[in-house]
Amino acid sequence: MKQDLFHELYTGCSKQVYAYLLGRTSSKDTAADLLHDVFLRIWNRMEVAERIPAEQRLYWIFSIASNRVKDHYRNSGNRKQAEEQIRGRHQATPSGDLSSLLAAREQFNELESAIGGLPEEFRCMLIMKAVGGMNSNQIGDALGIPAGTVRYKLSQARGLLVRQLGLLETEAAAGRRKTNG
Amino acid sequence: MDNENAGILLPVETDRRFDQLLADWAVHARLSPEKEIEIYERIFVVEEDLGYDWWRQLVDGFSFKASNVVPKFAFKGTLLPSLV
Repeated sequence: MKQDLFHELYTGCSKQVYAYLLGRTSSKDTAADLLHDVFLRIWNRMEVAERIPAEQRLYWIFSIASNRVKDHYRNSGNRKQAEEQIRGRHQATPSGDLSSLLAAREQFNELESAIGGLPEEFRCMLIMKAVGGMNSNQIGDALGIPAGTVRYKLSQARGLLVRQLGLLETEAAAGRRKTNG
Repeated sequence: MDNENAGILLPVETDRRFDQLLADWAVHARLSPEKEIEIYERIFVVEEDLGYDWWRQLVDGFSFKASNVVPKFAFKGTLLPSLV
């Protein structure tokens, strides 16, 4: 019974929790380690999980994940320092060159850098949606905020990334070429 | 563009390209199924040990400062003046 419920929670939520942890830490390895810690804690609190109504379990799991991230920040120096490390690691290199924008690989790297440079809250929600496959209602439930706020912040994150990647300029240039040609 | 992105006023083509780029990146960022299984199985290896709570209590109970395991002279000349 205990193991069945745990299996259900792991298969149902591990991708989403991993996405949240990746959004908070910007490191695949750290997120994987924290995912293990989070589910180990869940396993050791299965009697609590069994008592929590099914619709509230996601919030409970994300509370554990959030606390684990706080512990991680506490143990690995202060949070600001960690944020700066993330930004430094993902420092975007502006290309300013149209041909480089056309190179898919470079654009991929630019996107990763730009995501790493987003404010933590935006980055986290965006990764929960893109990597965790969660919609705004699920993200809202997990983080304890209204779905409308999630949608608004996701749209801001998208806008920031599109501008940072120069996608609007690229589209405009393509449009001009079409008109002139 | 789905309803989730309804608040964004971006050209359709920009939106489509961005979604594609993000989807490609997300595939790369995801945890591999092998790693997911490995993490799952590792939980039971740890649990079959002495139990998470046991280890937690043990580690919490440690006071490294008061420990006499390492003699004080070992820290002489190091950057740990409080221990010398």
